[in-house]
Amino acid sequence: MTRRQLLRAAMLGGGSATLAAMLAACGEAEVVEKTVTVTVTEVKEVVKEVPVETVVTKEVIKEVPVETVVTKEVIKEVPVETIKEVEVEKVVEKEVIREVEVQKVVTREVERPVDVRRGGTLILRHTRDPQVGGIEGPQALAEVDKSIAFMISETMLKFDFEKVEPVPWLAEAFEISPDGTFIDLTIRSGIKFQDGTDFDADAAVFNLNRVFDADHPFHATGVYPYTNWALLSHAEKVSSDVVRVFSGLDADPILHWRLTTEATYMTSPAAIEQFGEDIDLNPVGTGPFKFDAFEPGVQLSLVRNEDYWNPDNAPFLDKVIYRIIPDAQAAAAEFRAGNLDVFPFALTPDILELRDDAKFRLQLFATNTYFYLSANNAIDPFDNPEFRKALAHAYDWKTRIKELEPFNDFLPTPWYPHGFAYNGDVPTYEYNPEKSRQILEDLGWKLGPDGVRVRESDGKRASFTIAAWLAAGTPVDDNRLFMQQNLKDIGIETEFWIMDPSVVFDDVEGIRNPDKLELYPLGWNTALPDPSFLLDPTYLCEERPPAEKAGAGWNFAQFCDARVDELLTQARKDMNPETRAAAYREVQQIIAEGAVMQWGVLSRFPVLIKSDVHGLFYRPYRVNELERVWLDR
Amino acid sequence: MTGFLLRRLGASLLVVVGGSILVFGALRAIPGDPIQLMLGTQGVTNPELVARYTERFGLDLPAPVQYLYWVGQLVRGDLGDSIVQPQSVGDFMRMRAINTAVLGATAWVIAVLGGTGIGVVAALLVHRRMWVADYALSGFSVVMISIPSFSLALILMIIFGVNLGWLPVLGMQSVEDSGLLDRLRHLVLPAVTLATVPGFVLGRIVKAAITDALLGDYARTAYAKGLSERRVFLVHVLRNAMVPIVTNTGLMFGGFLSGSVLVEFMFAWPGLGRGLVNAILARDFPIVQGITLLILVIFTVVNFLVDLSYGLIDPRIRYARA
Repeated sequence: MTRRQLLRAAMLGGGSATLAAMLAACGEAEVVEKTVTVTVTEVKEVVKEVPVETVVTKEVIKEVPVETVVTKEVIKEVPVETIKEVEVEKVVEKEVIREVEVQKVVTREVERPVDVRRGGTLILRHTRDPQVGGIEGPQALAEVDKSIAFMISETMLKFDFEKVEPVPWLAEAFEISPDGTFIDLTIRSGIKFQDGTDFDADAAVFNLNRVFDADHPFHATGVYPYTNWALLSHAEKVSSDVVRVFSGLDADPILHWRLTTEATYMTSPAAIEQFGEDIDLNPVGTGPFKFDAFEPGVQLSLVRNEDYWNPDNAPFLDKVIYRIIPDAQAAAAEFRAGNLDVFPFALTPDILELRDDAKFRLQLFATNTYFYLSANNAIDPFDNPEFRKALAHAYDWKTRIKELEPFNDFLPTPWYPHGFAYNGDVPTYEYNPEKSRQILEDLGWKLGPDGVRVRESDGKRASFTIAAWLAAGTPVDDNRLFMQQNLKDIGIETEFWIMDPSVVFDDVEGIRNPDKLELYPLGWNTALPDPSFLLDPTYLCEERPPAEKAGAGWNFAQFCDARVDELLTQARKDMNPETRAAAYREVQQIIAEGAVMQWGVLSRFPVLIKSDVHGLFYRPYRVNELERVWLDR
Repeated sequence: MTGFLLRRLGASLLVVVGGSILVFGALRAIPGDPIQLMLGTQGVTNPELVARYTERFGLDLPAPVQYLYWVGQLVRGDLGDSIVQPQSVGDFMRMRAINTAVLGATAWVIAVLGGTGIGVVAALLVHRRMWVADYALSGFSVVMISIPSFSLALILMIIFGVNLGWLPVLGMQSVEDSGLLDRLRHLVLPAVTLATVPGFVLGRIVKAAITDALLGDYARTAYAKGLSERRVFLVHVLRNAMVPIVTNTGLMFGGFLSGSVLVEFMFAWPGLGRGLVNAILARDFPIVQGITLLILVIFTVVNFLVDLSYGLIDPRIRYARA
């Protein structure tokens, strides 16, 4: 081989890798939602006119008394200027309905539907193959993997998102000890795993100790990514049908909540012994669906568990197929062609277009995910609450939602209204750039000749960085650009500190670097709506990175307040729900008064479905429930 | 000849080793810890889990030691375990390599037949001085070459999959029917998308090569001897024009076999290209290393075969080497 040929071969190899990286970035970019123009303001009056559960745009539009023909007749009789006004009013009135629609959230059906068609195959779009951990309950890592895993296996208690509390499931009863150190669960009799073996106290103890006890003989068959969230210690068999589960804390008022979380899903011990580490792709649970087949890169299927123990929750469908289609645009084409029944994770432009098609419906599901903007509270000038309030008044959340995130809701408080101990009376900061400018003026930040503020006392320029984690080649997203523009409007100059997504939580290169982080946007999701899952990691002093405690380091804002620490620590082990709720409400009050963060968006999960699909539900962490799905075909 | 073969094989081995070191080093040099990325994006910060995984994949070792360890595994026929996928790299690549080969080979056949046909027609148009038709075909070729493959993929999907409903939009098989005919129908759109740009590029190369050959002394002599145009074209011109065509079709074959990232991604075709994209995004080092190694080997082998084929096509090259 000549040198030239050698070089050519090397370049081709390297070139392929480079191209792949660039294209990977293209793929990443597709996930970013693009600008959507929805110009609306008022919503309240029309809310009652929209059907409770679903969104059928055409039907709703017909309810609006705006007839195009009539409007045209009027237009001919009025001056030109008036015509424009009429047209504007017409557009606004139509869009008002759209905003009302997007505020509707689908809730799980309490009553089991009676007149349903049984059978059929449901086909859902799935974004990728299962990751490490596969689709076994306690191992499943990402939400798309959990969607499959949690149809196959179940927990002893199940979280009821309507009641905001756990309800008996594989266990028919439970009782927490007064000191909150353990919980006794009475196992429901007669339940069998899908391989025909019994689910009993021994099986429950086996499963929990397999996950939480590193010395368990089958501990090494899994990865259990969420064990540190469950905060459980171990389990013991008390009697033939009672299992005692011990907390990993001194006292745990939400010990029963933890028995609904990822790490506590039950798998057949016999199957674990049979498959060993391969149990991740061969799950055997007690759930309504059984694992059927997995063809990598193509599809994964489940079939109805004919011997399911709970007749009230037995599935209507025969089969469920998750088709693996990574590209959202291609998936939209496949959905248009009628080859998909459920299309989650669609791009916003596709959703806006397809929801108007009579063949499809858009459903919005509540989530526990919200987005906020924040700053490193430990550094100058963000350590001044007044400066943070100026930031809070500068962010135009409502316009951002309207223009960029039409399915989401405005949320200016530190906690969700549908969560435990929500405090809706905390101070909020309306969009008011004039007030923001005035605060900055009062603090001595005067507007310079180039439009950027300068602090009189020391000449410091109001110039900061906004952290942005972007795959190579991906442009800065619209939300960050919007944030930058809002700050520019009040005389604050920003540039983006761009980092690769893989280093975002790095102590040096990422947002855990307290010396480098200034402004940043972030989203946060809690699987369960207890404030401890959000307030503890984001506001406790010990959580400030670089954190000494293993697994800590989520308080990127570097917030630290002795009273907040005291309240959160007390609430974490307070067995009295009333005083516990009071503590969390006070925490919300303190952090809102200090404008520690600038809260703004409560996320909704939009899912496109065929109009003949009924009963679909997604849990607030975007995991599907398919037991009540039926097809009107 | 034996000496030539041995030299070429030795050089090819060097290319593979050098390329693998390059990829291995580049992966370690780019920012991002694969374990932290995999777990951190799900909010999982279990330090024991992070430590266990880091140790399990040998990521706590110095990079040269990691490379030697990987080569040791490779010699034993083991490509290691994926960091992100719940399967070994070998298992991950096996089916995907077959899928890519099926798609690539089909696209290659379409591109070679189509491209050669277009090139021959274009050259004949020039030869017969049919300028309007030549410009039209050239313009059309430029347009087709200029369309990005992801745009072409979407256009074909919408027209033939959604609007006309003649062909499946994407995927490798239908949900229920996965017979041979079903799979062939699924192959059409991705293969055509993949073949379009290389095919039209090849068409331009073929046109240029044949046009040049038609101006050669041997072509003129053949005409002067009174041979028919068909005989001149097929026996004298086409064979002399084959060297650049073979070079390009060979490289194209290597490219197709190593996977087409975008086309596989768009058409949800479970091939190597799509696997490589996901692996790079997730910093799944073992899979990236495995796939790039395969790509290196494919390109090196194809180059080697192309070099050998020159001698078969053009005796002058063979004599020169001898």
